[in-house]
Amino acid sequence: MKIFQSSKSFHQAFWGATLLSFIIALIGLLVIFFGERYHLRLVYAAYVNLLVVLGLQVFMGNTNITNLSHSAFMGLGAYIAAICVTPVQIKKLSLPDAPWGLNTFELDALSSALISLTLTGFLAFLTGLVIVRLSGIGATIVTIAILVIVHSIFMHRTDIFKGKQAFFGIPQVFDLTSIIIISIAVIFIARFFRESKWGIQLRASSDDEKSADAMGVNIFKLRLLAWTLGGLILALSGICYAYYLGTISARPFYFSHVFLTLAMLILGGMRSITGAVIGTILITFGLEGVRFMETGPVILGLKFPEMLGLSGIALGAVIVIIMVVRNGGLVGNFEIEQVFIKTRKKI
Amino acid sequence: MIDYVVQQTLNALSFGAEYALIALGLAIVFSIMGLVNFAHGEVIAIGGYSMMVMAAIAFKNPIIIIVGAIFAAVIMAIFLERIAFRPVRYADATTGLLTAFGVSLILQNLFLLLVSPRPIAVTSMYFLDWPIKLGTIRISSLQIFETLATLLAILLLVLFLKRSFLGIAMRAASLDFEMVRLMGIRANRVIATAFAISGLLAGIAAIFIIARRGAVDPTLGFNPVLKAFVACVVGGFGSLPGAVLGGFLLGALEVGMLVILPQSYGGMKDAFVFAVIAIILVWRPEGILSPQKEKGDKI
Amino acid sequence: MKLDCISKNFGGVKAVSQVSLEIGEGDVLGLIGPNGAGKSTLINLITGLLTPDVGKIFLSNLDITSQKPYQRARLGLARTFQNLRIYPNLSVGQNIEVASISSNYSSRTMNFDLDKIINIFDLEDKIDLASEELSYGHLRRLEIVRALALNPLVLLLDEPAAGMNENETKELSNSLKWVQNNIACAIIVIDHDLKFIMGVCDKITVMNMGEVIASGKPNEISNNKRVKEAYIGH
Repeated sequence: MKIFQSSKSFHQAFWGATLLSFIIALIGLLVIFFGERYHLRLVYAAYVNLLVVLGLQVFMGNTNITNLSHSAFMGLGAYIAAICVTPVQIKKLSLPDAPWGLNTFELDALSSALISLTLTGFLAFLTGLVIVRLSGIGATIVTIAILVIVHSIFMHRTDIFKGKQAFFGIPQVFDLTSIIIISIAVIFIARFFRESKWGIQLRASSDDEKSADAMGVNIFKLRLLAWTLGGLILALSGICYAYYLGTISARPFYFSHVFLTLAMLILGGMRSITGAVIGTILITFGLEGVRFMETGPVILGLKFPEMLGLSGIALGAVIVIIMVVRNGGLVGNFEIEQVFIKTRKKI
Repeated sequence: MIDYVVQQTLNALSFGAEYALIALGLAIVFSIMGLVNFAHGEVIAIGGYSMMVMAAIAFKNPIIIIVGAIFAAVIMAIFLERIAFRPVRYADATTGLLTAFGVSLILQNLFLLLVSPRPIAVTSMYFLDWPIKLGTIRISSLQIFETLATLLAILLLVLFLKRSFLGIAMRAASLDFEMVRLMGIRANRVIATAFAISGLLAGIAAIFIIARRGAVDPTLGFNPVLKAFVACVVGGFGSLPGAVLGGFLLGALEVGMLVILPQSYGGMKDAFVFAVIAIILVWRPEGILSPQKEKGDKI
Repeated sequence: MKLDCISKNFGGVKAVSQVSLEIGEGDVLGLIGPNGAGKSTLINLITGLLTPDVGKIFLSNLDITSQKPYQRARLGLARTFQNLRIYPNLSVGQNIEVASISSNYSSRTMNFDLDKIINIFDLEDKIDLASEELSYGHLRRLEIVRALALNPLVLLLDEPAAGMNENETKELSNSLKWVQNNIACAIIVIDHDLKFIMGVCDKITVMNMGEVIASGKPNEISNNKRVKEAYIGH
């Protein structure tokens, strides 16, 4: 089966993804060789966010339907893998009342990840059946419903997920090198999807639903495909999160993370993979600066007050300004290979 | 048994009234300019914070506080329209939605930064709340006030939309905005009025929320607005009767869940409510009372 | 393709009433009539954006009345839109690809060379441009090329010459002539420019108030009394 309609699409996708991978790998290697220990953790988290943003882009960028449930799918991916991979001795301690014998087995990291991907992917497919039938706003509201449902299950089924408390004892499987490799793979997947025949038809439908319908585009099917693929990438991001940090809890998989990753995608430009990567990098660095200000630092002898909430204000401002000034984000439809391949003039 | 049913029905009505009040505010803005106003919750929060401020500068008269809170919410709604939503007025729905999200995020964090991340007690509305016993039925006066105030607000809104010039212009605008502009009615005025009404409804909602909770915090309006959104979508987005219907339906569902679910699942009430809503949407993707879609060959 | 007595009401208004037509490969049918005659509604009914209240639609003897628009497109019903509906975030080439991808889902083989068509409609050197950069006239052409990329059995053109100057209209006529002679499909054209319609069509159907009031060769139509009445409005 053909994936790309034209070889031009393939070349662009390939070179674009290669260039972005190069940048992503370079940043990672710099940190590995020159970074302090505490940098590693921060940078790892940034890579996880990059995966989330890419997973979000696959659906949102190609369909122009706002999704707010992405952190829920990330959480599902993380918890399912964590439950499978955590050793029985620890689970007997941390999940004494777990139902269905969840605390009586343990699996290797690869099988756990595969189970997590399968289950989360299946859930994404099921919810997708609902989402793709709704018009833009309705679909967004249902994604909020998914976020709320999943979060309240995490919070209240403490016998399985431990809720607000830490789910601990997850073995450390990944390090920075592994997530760099995974990020590169996902960049290729997302970019190939964007330029594939499905991606092109899907983008047509996001520009003009009626016209795409009249041109033979099966909108439901393609949206479902993008939604499920996005769900799988989000599950993968969750797995990577759990496989490094060792402990997870329900809190990070809720609105504040939703907004953070949404701002990353929007800032760069949600229609472009280059935009997703740039947005993630800019917000990650920018936010470190803002967080520093939040703590009330002393700069040049001036004592600044403690300013809790500053990072939230900054994220909100980024979203509003981009929407008002340039709603395609910083790069719009631009992809990085266009700097080098001059075939397509400023798209 | 009958008493129990009456009791729970009254509970459902008062829950539903609050959602309907907020949902109406969302629907009136959406019906006119297609904006999904996520910052509506922060308009409610402004109502709450203004009560805090007024109480702090020693206003004792509850009427002044009520009027002041509603006034603050109306001003806030109009202000947000002017600075944040006017620039994206003709943009697509996604742009408007994300803008509103950003505004909501900024305001929530401003409250956090300027006031406090923790709840602050506002007790000036407690006078609305006293227990009433009718035989074995125990309800709160607040529930009655809330239901009545909502019904009154709906009635006045209907009168406004049916009788006043601006109201008729607004109804026309919800069908065909361009047409209303061609008739020489200023778009700014119609939209500002829609926001003012939504602010008014948010202000009323703020009073009841504060009266029940007795405290204000940055996320005061966020969760109720999430629910109200769901009410709007279920009722049929953009339809005012749909918003009211959706609100009361949601109230009934919540109370129903509390009755049906065993105690240990009480915390998962929201999960079940949202799941039922999702099922309703599978059955009727456009909501129960969605506005008629096929408008002829304007394709 | 055959329409069998299709009707559509909008809230009591008969937009299209009891219309039957038949068209075959190589035909070019003009559909004219005053504003509000139901021409665009008819196109929307044929392509499935609206569903008829009564009547059936057949394509190569297959009943497609209950098919969705995208299914009809894949079966060979291609259209352009009265108000341009280009995908602004895709390049010119990608706009065309959207339709070519769909044509791959059908079992019909392409009996013409798409690149040749792109050339005829003067889009060859513009294929990598962002579609927003095209001039109005070229956007109209892009819509036609995109529709042809579906490898259609029936091509429906909704006011293809709207907003074009005399020169552009003439070029369009020539391009359509080429399509008629080189591609095995039927064409239905709606337009207000009677000179253009008379020039490209070999059969014309006139609609008024949702009904077909006349049908025939161009010269027959221009002498038809009911048609004159409908246009002048007695």
